[in-house]
Amino acid sequence: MTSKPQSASLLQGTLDMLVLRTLLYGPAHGHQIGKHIQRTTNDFLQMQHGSLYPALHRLERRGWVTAKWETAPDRNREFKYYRLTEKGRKQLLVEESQWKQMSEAVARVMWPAAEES
Amino acid sequence: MRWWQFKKRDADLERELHSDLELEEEEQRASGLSSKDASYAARRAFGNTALIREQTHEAWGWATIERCYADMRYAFRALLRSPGFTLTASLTLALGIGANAAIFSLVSAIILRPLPYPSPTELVGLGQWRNQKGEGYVQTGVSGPNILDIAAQKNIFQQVAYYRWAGFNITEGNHPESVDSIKASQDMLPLFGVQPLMGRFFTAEETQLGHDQVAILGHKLWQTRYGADPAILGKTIRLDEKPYTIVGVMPARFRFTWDQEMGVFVPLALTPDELSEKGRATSRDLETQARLQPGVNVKQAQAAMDALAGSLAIEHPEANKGWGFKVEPLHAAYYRHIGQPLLIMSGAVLFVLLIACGNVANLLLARATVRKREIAIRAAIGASRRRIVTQLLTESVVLAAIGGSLGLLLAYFGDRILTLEMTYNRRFSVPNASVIDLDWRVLLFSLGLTLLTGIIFGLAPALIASRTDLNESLRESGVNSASESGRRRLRNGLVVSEIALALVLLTGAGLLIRTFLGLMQVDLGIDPTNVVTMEIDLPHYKYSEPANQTQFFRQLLQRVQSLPGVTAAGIEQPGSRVFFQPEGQPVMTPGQEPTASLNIVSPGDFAAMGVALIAGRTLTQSDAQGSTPVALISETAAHRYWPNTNPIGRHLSVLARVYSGKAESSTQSLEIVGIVKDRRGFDLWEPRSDLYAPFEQHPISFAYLNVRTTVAPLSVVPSIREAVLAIDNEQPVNDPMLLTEQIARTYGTLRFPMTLVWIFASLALLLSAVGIFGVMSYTVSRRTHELAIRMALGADRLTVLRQILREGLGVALIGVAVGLLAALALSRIMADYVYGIKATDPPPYAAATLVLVLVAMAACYIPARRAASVNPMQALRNE
Repeated sequence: MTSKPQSASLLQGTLDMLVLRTLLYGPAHGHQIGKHIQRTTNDFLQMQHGSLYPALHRLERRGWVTAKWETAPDRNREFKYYRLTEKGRKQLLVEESQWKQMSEAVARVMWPAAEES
Repeated sequence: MRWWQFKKRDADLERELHSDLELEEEEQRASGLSSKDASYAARRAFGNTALIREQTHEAWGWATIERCYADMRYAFRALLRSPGFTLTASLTLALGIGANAAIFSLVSAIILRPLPYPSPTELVGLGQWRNQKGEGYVQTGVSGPNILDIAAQKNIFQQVAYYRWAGFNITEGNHPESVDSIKASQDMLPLFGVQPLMGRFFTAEETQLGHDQVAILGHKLWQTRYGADPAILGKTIRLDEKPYTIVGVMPARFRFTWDQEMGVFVPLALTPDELSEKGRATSRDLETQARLQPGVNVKQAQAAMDALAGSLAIEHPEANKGWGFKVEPLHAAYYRHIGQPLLIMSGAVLFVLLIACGNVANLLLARATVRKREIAIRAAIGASRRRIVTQLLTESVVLAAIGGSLGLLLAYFGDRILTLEMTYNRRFSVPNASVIDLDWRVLLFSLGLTLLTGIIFGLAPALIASRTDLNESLRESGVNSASESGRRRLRNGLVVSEIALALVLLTGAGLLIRTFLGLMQVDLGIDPTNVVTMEIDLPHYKYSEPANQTQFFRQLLQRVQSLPGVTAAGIEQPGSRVFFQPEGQPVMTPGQEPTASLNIVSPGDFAAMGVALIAGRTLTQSDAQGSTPVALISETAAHRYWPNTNPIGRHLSVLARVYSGKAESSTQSLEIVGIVKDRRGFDLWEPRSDLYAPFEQHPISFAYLNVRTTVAPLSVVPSIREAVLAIDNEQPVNDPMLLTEQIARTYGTLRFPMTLVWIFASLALLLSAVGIFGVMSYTVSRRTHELAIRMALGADRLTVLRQILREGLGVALIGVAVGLLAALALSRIMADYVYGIKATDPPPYAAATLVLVLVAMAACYIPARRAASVNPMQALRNE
C-alpha cells in the first residue's frame, strides 16, 4: 500500500455490509460508524462520511437497523444511535458469504499460481 | 412513509447531520485548527449536505414526488418573477390550445360521440347510387321491391327498415299546426333498439293500406299538447283532417336520425303500385336503414350488396341497370359531408398551435440564456443534468398548464359561438350541433395536448440550456461559444417552421377567399333588388283537386299584381331533378340520360325575378290547360342537350324524377318555346340545366310567391297577406323575406367556415410575425458587441442594417420555400373547396409568399434599425 491514503469508490452493497458489520460491536451513531470504517481501513476508505446517511436511512427502511435518539454515555448530549436488528444480522451473514464467494472467485482468476503454492 | 411525516423526518435528518458536523468540527479543533479552519475542514470531510439530504430523501422513496413538488413550486415562483414572459407565453399557448379545444369539441360531438342507440355500430344506412352525367355521384333511397330483396339476406341484416318524411298538420281547433312527422315501416322504430315509453310500436297489419291510421307520439308533443296525459293511448289525433288512433308514446331521450325530435310517427303503408314490379323503379325515395347481424361488418355487407345489385341489374334491367347499392355506417352517413371540412379545420388549428409552440420555445431559449448563471449555480451545487432538464421541463409544463386553462376558457366561449351560429343563426349546419361543449373527451384531449405542448416547446430549450460549461457561464462573459451557434441553429429552425406553417395556412385561406370572390361574381341570372319572396303551401286535404290549386294561385296572382307598388308577381315551385328525353335524339344508356330541374312557374315569374329571355318567347297567359304544352329551357340545357341546333320548336318529354324514380305528373311531350338565362340559387358552384313549365298546365300545391316592387318590398307583405286571406281565410303565408337577404344567407353558409379558416390564418401570421421579431431582436441584442466593433472599424449604418436584414430574410426565405412545397403537397385536400380555380392556382401562393416576406422584413427591420443606431463606444464600454 502506498503511503498516501487513497479513496476508493465504494460499491453501494459493500457500504451496506460495512455498516452492518460495524454495528455488530454495538449501537453507534453516524459519526462513529464513519470514523470506525475510516480508521480500521487505515484511512484507505476515506469517504466523505456524509454519504453514510443515505445508506443508513436505506438500511432503516429495510428494517435491518433501528434508530433512536439517545444520550451518549460519556457526555450530556443526544445522538441518533443505530442498532442492528435480528433481520440485519441475518442480512449481514448473507452479504458476508456473498462477498467471500465473490472475492475468492476474483482471487482465483487473478492469482491462480499463488493458490497452488 | 406518509407525507405528513415528511417534515418531521426531514427535521430529524437535519438534526442528525448537524450533530455529526459539530462532532467533526470539535475533533478538528482538538487537532489544533482555528475554529474557522475547523469548520471548513469539517465540511470538506463531511461532503455536500444538500446532496446528502436529497439522496437520503431518495432512500425514503419519496424523492420523486418531493422533487416534482419542489420543481412545481419553483416553476411558479420563477414564472411569477417574470410576469411579462409568463403572460406572453401563456396567452400564446391559450390561443393555440383554445382553438384546438374548440374545434375538437366539434369533432367530439359529431364524430367521436356514438349514436344514441344501443349497439350503434351495427346500424347502417342503405342507398342506391349511380354516376350520372351532369349530376355527378347521385345517391338516392332504395325502392320498395329492392328493399324486400335486401331484407331477404338474413345472414347479413337483422332488420331492414325504411321511412319517408311527412309534413302533417294537426287539424284540431281553429288553426292547423304543422308537426314534424315520419311515416315509418314496421321495423323502423324497433331498429334503434328502444322501447316505447307507453303502448307499442306498429304491427304488420298497420303497415297495410287501410289499416294505417294509428300514430305514435313523440315525447315532447305528448307533454306540450296533451299535458303528459297518462291515459292518452286509444285517443285520436287528427292529422290532415283524418283521425289517427294513438297507440304509443316514445321515450323522452329518443331522437330520430340522430338529433331530430319528431312529433308524430305513423305507419308507412306502401301502395300496391310501389310494391309491384313497376315500383322497383318508381319508389326509390324510401330512406333505408338496417341493423347488421352481430359479427358482420360493413365491408362484408357492401360485398353482399354489390353481388345483389349485379344480379338485380340482370333480373330487372329496366329498373336497376346502372344502379348500385351503398352500405355505410349510419353514423358516418350523417357526418359524411362535414368530415373533410372538419379535417381542414383541425389541421388549421394544429398549425396555429405548432406556431405558438415555436414562439414559446423561442422565448424559453432566450430566457435560458438569461438564466445561464442560475442554471450553472444549480449544476455547481450538485444538480445532475437530468435533474436540471426535469426542472426546466416542469416549468414549461406549468406554463403550458396555465395556457391550457386559459385556452379552455377561450374554447368554452368558442363553443357557445359555434353552437349559436349553427342552431340559432343556422349559418351552417352539422348534425348533433346542439350538444357541442367541453365534454370529457375534449377535456382529456386538452389535457393531453397541454402536456404534449409543454414537452414539445420545452424539451429542446431545456436540453440546450442544461448543456452549459460551468466555468464559462459563471464567469459570465463568453458570448460566442459553441453552444451559442447550436442555439442559433435551433432558433432559426423554429422560425423556418413557423413561417412554413403560416404560409400553408395563408395559401389555404387565400384559396378560400379566391373561391368566395369567384362565387360573389357568379352571375346569379336574377335581379334580386326590390324583390320579396314568401312561401305558400296549400294543404292537400283541402285542395285535393288540381283545379282548385291552380284556381287559388291564379286568383292570388291577379290580386297581388294589382296591388299598389307592385310591378310584377310570379310563383315558382323549384324543381326536382328529372330525367328527360329530347325528342328525335337517340335514347342514352343508364347514367348518360339528360337531366334537368323541372321548375313550375307562372308567366310573370320571369319578370318578378328579373330572368332575361335569350331566344324565343316567354310564357304567356294563353299557355293554359288545353293549349299546347310548352316549356322554356335554360342556356345550359340548350348547350348541353341541343348542341349545334336551335332547340326552339323542338319537343322534349319529361320521364321520371332522378331521386325517387317517380313519373312526373304529366309526361306528355312539351314544345320548347324559348331559352332563358341560367339561374343559380341553390347551387352557386355550377350552372345546372333547367326546364320551366307553366303552372296552368302542371298544377302545384306549394310555391314561392315572388313580388317585385317599386316601394320598400317588405311593406307590401301585409297587403299580400290580406289578398291571400281574401281567397282562403285559413291559408298562412310563411317566411316573407327579401330576396337579397336570402342570397346573403346562401353566401353566409359559405362565409362562416371560410371566416374560421381566415381567423386561424391571421392568428398564424400574427404569431409567426411575433416569432420572427422576437428572434431577430434577440439575435441583434446578443450581437451588439460584434456590431459595435464592426462599426468602430468603419462599417456604416447602412451596411449593418443591410447585413441584419439579409440574415433575417435568408431565414424567412427558407421558411417560405419549405412552406410552398408543403402547401402544394396539401393542395389536393382543398380541391373540392375551390371554385373557378385550381387548388394550385398561383395567385394565392404568390400573395401568401409576398405577405410573409413583407411581414418578415418588417419584423426584421425594427431590430435591424436598432442595431444600426448603436453607439459603438457606449456598446463596447457596457461589456
